[in-house]
Amino acid sequence: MDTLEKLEWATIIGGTVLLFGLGALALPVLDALDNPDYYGEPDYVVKVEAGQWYWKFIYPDGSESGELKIKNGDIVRLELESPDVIHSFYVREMGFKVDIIPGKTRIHVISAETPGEYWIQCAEFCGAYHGGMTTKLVIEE
Amino acid sequence: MGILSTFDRIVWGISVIVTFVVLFIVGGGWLLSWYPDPIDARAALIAQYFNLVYIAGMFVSALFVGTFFYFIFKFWDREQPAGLD
Ligand SMILES: [Cu+2]
Repeated sequence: MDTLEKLEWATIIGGTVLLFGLGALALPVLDALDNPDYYGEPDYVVKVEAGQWYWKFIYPDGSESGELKIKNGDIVRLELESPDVIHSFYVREMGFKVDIIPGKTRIHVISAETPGEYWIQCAEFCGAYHGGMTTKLVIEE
Repeated sequence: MGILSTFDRIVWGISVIVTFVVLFIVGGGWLLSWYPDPIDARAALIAQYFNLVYIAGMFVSALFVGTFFYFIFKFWDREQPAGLD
């Protein structure tokens, strides 16, 4: 085997190992992201309505707010809906985006461990005021 | 590797290192790919995986460009005029 052949095999085997390795390592991450049972039984459900151009959060007791307020450590099941176009629920500090498709209910479970105030942004272009479609995630002690 | 002189090897080596550093910066870099600190264990897990892919991507890019230089030196016949003279 000459150098070129060795190089070729190293590329083929190295590339295969790398791709399948990264693929295998991605599985637990994907499960953590998309599995609604990842944190176990949720403490309560918050309905999220994302429209042009507002965020509305509806709590179990029927109250509503424009900012999402949850207690630290709570396992919160978000049920996200959109009455008009596609929006996306994005909290940078939580490392995920959830696209909200009109006519469907997206489920996403969150559980914060650090109290504070974080940005919620719409991460899917949804019209003229898309850029202003932000609000706050407040995690109380 | 017999066709490569010591000079070729030095240039090749430096090319790979420089390319690695340039890709590190151009390909986002730690500064540009700044991301707020994760606030829960799941977010930390995701961030960890992204970093892993980022570093793996840097190695692959460096390898890719390194192979390119390898071929140039391998088939570069310096007995021939460059065509500019
Ligand atoms: Cu939007």
